Amino acid sequence: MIREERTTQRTQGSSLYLLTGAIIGLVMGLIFSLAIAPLRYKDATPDLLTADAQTQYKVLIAQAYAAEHDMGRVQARWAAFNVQNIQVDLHTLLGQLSAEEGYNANAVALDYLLYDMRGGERPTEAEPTATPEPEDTSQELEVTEVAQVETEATPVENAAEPEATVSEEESALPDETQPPIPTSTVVAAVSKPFQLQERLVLCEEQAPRLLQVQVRDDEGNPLQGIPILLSWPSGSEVFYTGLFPAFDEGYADYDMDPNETYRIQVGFSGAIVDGIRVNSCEREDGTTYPGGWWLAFQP
Amino acid sequence: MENRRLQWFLVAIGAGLVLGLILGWSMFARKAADLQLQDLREDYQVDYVLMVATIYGQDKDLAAARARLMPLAEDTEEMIDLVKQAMATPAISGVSNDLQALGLLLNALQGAGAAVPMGVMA
Repeated sequence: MIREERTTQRTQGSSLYLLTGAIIGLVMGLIFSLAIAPLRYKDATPDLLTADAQTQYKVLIAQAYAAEHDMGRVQARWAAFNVQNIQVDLHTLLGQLSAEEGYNANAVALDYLLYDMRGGERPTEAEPTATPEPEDTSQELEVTEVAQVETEATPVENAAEPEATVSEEESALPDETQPPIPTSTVVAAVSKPFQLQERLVLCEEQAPRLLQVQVRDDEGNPLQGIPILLSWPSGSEVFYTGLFPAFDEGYADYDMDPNETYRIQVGFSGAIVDGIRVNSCEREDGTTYPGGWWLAFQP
Repeated sequence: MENRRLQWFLVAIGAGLVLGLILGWSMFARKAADLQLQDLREDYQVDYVLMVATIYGQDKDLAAARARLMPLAEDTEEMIDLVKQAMATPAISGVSNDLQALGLLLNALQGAGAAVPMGVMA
């Protein structure tokens, strides 16, 4: 009995020293191959790049497409990423970029490409017109950055919003097995970045905490389908004007969280209005209730 | 007996080492490699430069074009060399629109007044 136990221990011992040796060798091999002499790719294909570099490359493809409108080249270039469905990849990237950076030039280029890839028609660009000097009526809100623009909208699916714009191309999705892709339905072109023109504190007990936005062109006509990027420290959301066309085609609203401070940007590279938060309104009897904002934007 | 154990121990280390090298240079290599745009294969770099030139041809924004080329070239001289290399690429040299776009970018990088090489402009 005792001899059997000793034999077993000896067998286990022999296995353990072999295992120990193998692990030591494995660790040495990994240290050497990953740290001391890592494999260096010098002729990388785009799909091997880091995520950031891939994004940069893809955005460049989209921007080049906006310049030359050669869909064949886009297909050929995107094929280097070995993705199964370019539209899905494009849409995913657009969502990521919009969430991280806002609906900026890069996102617009991707949106533009995605729109065309689904067979959409390009908007007729508005002729540049003389724009009055933006009148900054904001005193409490901080307005920053301005840049150039051309806007194209992608609707946001929002089941809570009544009278949502119906997609004209929903049936044109490439494959029912593919993830649903939001379809661009409203395209608007404006000649200048949107600026904050008017700001009012809203005190309506029936609609507390409501951020109301009105977007008009430089002639004062309401603009439908203009993307509005709302961002706050922990997230962002894009919504669009025109969800209540019976009321005003250039109108959009958002129910603010009383604990958040928002930043809003209307259209691509429009002025950024910072520091938006729920207001405090006072009743006649001195008690308070949450109020909202009315913001009017024009190029 | 001890010698045999030592031999097998060394064999085990060797086997582990080989396995570690294989893993490090194959399975984990892509994760370990921090591949950037400058690591692209030459033909992709040429296409990248062409895209930059195409965009420049439309917006004429040299600063933006330079910013886009920065991942591939550190200074203007390197950018010029890149564009010239792209223009000399057989796949490009037969396409007049591409050559024209690259020529415009090359001109802009070389500074106002520099001539586009003869035979390049369509």
